Amino acid sequence: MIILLLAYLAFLLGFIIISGLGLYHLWKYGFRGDMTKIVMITYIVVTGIIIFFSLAIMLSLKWGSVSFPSIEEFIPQIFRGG
Amino acid sequence: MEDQDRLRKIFPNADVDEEVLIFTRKHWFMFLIIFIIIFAMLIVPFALLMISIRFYPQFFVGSIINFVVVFSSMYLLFISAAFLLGFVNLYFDIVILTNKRIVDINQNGLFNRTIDELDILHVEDVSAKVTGFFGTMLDFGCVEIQTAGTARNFIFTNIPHPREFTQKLTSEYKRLISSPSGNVALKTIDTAEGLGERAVGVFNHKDLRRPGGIANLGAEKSENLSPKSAPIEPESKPISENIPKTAPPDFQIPKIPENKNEPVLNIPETPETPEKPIEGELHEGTIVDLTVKKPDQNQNPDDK
Repeated sequence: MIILLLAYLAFLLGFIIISGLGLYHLWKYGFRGDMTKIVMITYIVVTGIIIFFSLAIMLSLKWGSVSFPSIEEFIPQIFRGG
Repeated sequence: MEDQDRLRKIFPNADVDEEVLIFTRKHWFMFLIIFIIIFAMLIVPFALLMISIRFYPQFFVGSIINFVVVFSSMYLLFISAAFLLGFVNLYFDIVILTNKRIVDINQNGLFNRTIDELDILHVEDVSAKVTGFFGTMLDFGCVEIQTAGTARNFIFTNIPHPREFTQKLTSEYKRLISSPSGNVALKTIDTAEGLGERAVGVFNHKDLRRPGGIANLGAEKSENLSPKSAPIEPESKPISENIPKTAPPDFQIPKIPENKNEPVLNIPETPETPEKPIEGELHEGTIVDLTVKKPDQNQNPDDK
């Protein structure tokens, strides 16, 4: 089960690299007043939400011998800053 | 003004008087297709997942939940990245028509971006093609520009209002050709008399091209500049008539030696008279009269 979690983290790393390149293109080749900024912001917000909730749900699940706090405990911890 | 800034960003050394006539990307229908595909890829698998959980809850127990969560997250992120790359691919395919050139920017993936430009005067033929139901209804299609020489043809697919694009290109081409500072090529012709007598006609560059297509647009000007109207002086005789038919009295026939290795003797040396250079530099459009004029016979040689 931990392998699945590690595979996910590796995928996440690749995703961040590809997204960074895509966003770099939008930033570099976009023109003032076009849609690139809107798309950049939307993309960052949407993917941020996906990653955040995915991690929150995953950490609330049981992964073999590793135990994480449940989602009900995890989310308040984040907003409290620890 | 916004388009001017965009052109400056692509070509920092664009001419000051260069004006953007059309700045266009792919038609919005292409973006809509991308959105529909992405939406379908999002909706369909999750709808199937929800239905499965609703009707077969016994399968989603234990570690299966972990797999479902991880793969759902990966799938969502994959779709997001695909959307981003698709958007970059489509959004950065740009066509710019200025009053001097056509710029074609092609973005293929993240690491393949080409910017081609074409002088409007190098356009040989242009055609607009609108096909299909959506293309006809929403007025988008393909514009194909054939270029002179070995330059590759320009093909813009799925651009909005292709007919308008070709009309603007055509009118700009016409304007450039008929302008006095248009691209005028210099071409010399030898008359039938030959032997160095030349008259210079000024041709528009389109005269050098094959007939047909956009090249016929400025026909009215080419009539004025046709070789028939080249400034050939009717009084000037061909240079062949100026060559004396009889040899001069001091002319000696060269002695041909029997031994071929021996050099030919007694060949009268004639001083080489270099061609008088044309003053000033020649540019495109410079009209140079190279007609060989007959010397004025009425002129008294003593006047010299």
